[in-house]
Amino acid sequence: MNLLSAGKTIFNNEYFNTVGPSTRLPNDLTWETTEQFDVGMDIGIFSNRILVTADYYLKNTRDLLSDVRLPASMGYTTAIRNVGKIQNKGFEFGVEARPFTNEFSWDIIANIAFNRNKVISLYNHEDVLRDNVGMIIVSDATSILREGRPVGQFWGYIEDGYDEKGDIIYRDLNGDGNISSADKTYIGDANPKFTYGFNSVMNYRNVEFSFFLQGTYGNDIFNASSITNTMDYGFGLNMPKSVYENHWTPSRTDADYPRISRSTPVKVSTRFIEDGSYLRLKNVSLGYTLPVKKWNINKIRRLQVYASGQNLLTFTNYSWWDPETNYRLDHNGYPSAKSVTFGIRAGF
Amino acid sequence: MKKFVAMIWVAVLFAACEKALEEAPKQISEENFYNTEAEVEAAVNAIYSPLRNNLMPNYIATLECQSDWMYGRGSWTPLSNYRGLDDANITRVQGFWNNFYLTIRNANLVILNALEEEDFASYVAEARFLRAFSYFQLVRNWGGVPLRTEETMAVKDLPRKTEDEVYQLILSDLSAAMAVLPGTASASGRATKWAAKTLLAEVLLQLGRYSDAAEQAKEVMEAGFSLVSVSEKEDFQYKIFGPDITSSSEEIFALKYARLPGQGNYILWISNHPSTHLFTPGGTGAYAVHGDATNPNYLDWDDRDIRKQLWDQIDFGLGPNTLVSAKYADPDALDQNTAGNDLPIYRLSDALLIFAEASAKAENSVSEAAMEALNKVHRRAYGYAPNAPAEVDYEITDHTVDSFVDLIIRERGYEFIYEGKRWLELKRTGKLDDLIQYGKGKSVMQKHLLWPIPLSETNFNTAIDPVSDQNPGY
Repeated sequence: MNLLSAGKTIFNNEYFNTVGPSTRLPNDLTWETTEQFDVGMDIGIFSNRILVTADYYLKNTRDLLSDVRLPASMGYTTAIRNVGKIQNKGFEFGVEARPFTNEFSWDIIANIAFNRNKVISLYNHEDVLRDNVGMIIVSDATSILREGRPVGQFWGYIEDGYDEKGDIIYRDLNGDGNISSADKTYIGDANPKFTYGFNSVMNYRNVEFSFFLQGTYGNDIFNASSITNTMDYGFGLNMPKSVYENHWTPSRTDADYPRISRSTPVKVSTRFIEDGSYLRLKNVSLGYTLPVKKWNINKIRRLQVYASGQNLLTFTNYSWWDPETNYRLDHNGYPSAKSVTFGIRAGF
Repeated sequence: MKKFVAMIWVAVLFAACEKALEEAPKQISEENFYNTEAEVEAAVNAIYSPLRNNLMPNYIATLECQSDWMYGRGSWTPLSNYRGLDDANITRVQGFWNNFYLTIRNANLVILNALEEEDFASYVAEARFLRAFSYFQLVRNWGGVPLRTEETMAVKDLPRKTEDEVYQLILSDLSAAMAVLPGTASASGRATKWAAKTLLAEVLLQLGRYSDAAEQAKEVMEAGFSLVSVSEKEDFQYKIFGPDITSSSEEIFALKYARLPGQGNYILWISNHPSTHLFTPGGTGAYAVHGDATNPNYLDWDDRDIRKQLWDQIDFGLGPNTLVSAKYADPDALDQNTAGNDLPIYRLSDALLIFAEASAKAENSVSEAAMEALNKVHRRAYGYAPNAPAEVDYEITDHTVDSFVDLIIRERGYEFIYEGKRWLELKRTGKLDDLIQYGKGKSVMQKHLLWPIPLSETNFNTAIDPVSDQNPGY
């Protein structure tokens, strides 16, 4: 059903009702279906003080639901469609270890996951361009679904420095002397080589110290946040200092940014692809359990005072606010907050 | 009394009961709509929305940047340099493409779903008029474009058609619309037969079918419209383009706005400068598209022409000769989104000047009627009664067909500033290179003549090759 929505317009200096469809075209859809094959292995050694788990999985998703962009001349801009079949496969390894279990105890949980995905088939074998950025200076798709390529394949132009005027040179891949969308290619991959986590909990008498690290390695992020904020010089916007200090001039031709002008040409390019690998101290916590029994307070079973911090440390080369985006494209995504918490935990 | 109260209670309960039992569909969809006149009218109204919301004010301002005596500022600057569009302006015109096709989609939905019903014929005609209007903008700025009609609206991949094929659709839509549309609109701002005829006259002029164009324009001239008499610039500002009038006696077709939240005309924000206090009591505006007092066209302009006063000389950083338009004024607007001024699309002046040019070209001589049509527009602007001879009138004996056409082109320049007509007129008459050179001392690159087919189309329409089907230079 093509749902219509109401609005208002003016004739005679008065309101009149309008009813028309939105820009999303409805489709006959079927459910996405997923088949998964798993093999796993759990090994416990030293009376289960070390547990090792290993899993292999193969997951096929048919009738993948995805937003598909439509030609603007249809008047509709998007439709959800069952676009095709994708495959995910990978290994997950986990280690749980308790090297000490006495007065000093230490629990460790570590895991690492390797996932690979690829598009097996698409409707009509047609590419699906998606993840559009719509800004004043750039309005284009940033990724592509293509058979044989991963989901999260970034798609754009390759930069080759600057011309004599200080404008960015884009590589003319098909050699026709013209830069057009036929010169777009694979410029990055949003999929990490692996993701990992490390959790440690240590207890000594009444003191508990724990921390949790997590990270990804080898994934690219399309930094859409930086497009307007570092490249759009037409509106007198605030810019990072590096734009001022390191833009193209005749004497600085290898600058990070092109010449400053009202109409600097910008395309979806390698410039915005950044290494999104990171290692983050998600949580660290130090607690002290008060000896309530000793104090003969019977109503409270357990009372702990603690201090903990979230996201206090991050190691990354990613230039914008936060590499921990859950999406391929970072467009001013709200960053994870650093926070410090002091508290009391009571059990009755 | 008690009994009466009790009865009211029963009535209330009964009414409540009835409401609960009513089985209205909760959502309206294309499949269950277009059944009553009110529904079809609401669907037609939705065709106007994309045109009124930011499309036409921005489109008109963009075309004015490309004229021979107006200039774009900031991101609009490249439009006035005639060297093709930069990325910011490619994105800007992509928005126009998207919204003209959104208008066309909404028109197609009405045509598709209301076509069979005899009672809805005038609504279908209104949809055809607006579809033709949109394609006329598309074909002149992009050349041959994909033809989305009620039959092809659901086909994803659609190739560019030739300009001829686009014009065929425009002509057939307009002749169907003209035959059915009423002479007087049920509400000011709805398309009438005269709107369709004026558009048709301009299309025919564009196609070089001069006698047909003159014939259509003449019918409009004789339909009862009259030029508003003017004695000072405020008459232009408030009696013709004013925020408080519902329409004027010379209005043939205009997009309607009102001083209501979110229903204002955006062109006032584009054109005004805060210091004039012509827009909102405190004064506001972006003065993004402006003029210049050293432009030869301005220097040539007779000071007695009241229209010349619709420019204020304001130095906002580009020098003392900068001109800011005072044509659209609403000092009582609540904020930048509530300018009550309508956006003129066709006025009687259009019909008069189309007639003058078309009939002179058709007959290869300047007739009394053609000269009188031009003089009406000309003398009115000097403060004379539009329909009586005046001392500023042009004389037939002074002119050849060519010099008469030049007079008309000049008159259009004065009359239609900030109405988005100049660039397309210069392209049509073949005077583009000469007049841009004369006004601005600039040459026009070939690639500036047509806008690029946007990525929002070529990325997703596989029937248009992004390289070989693209307009020259992009």
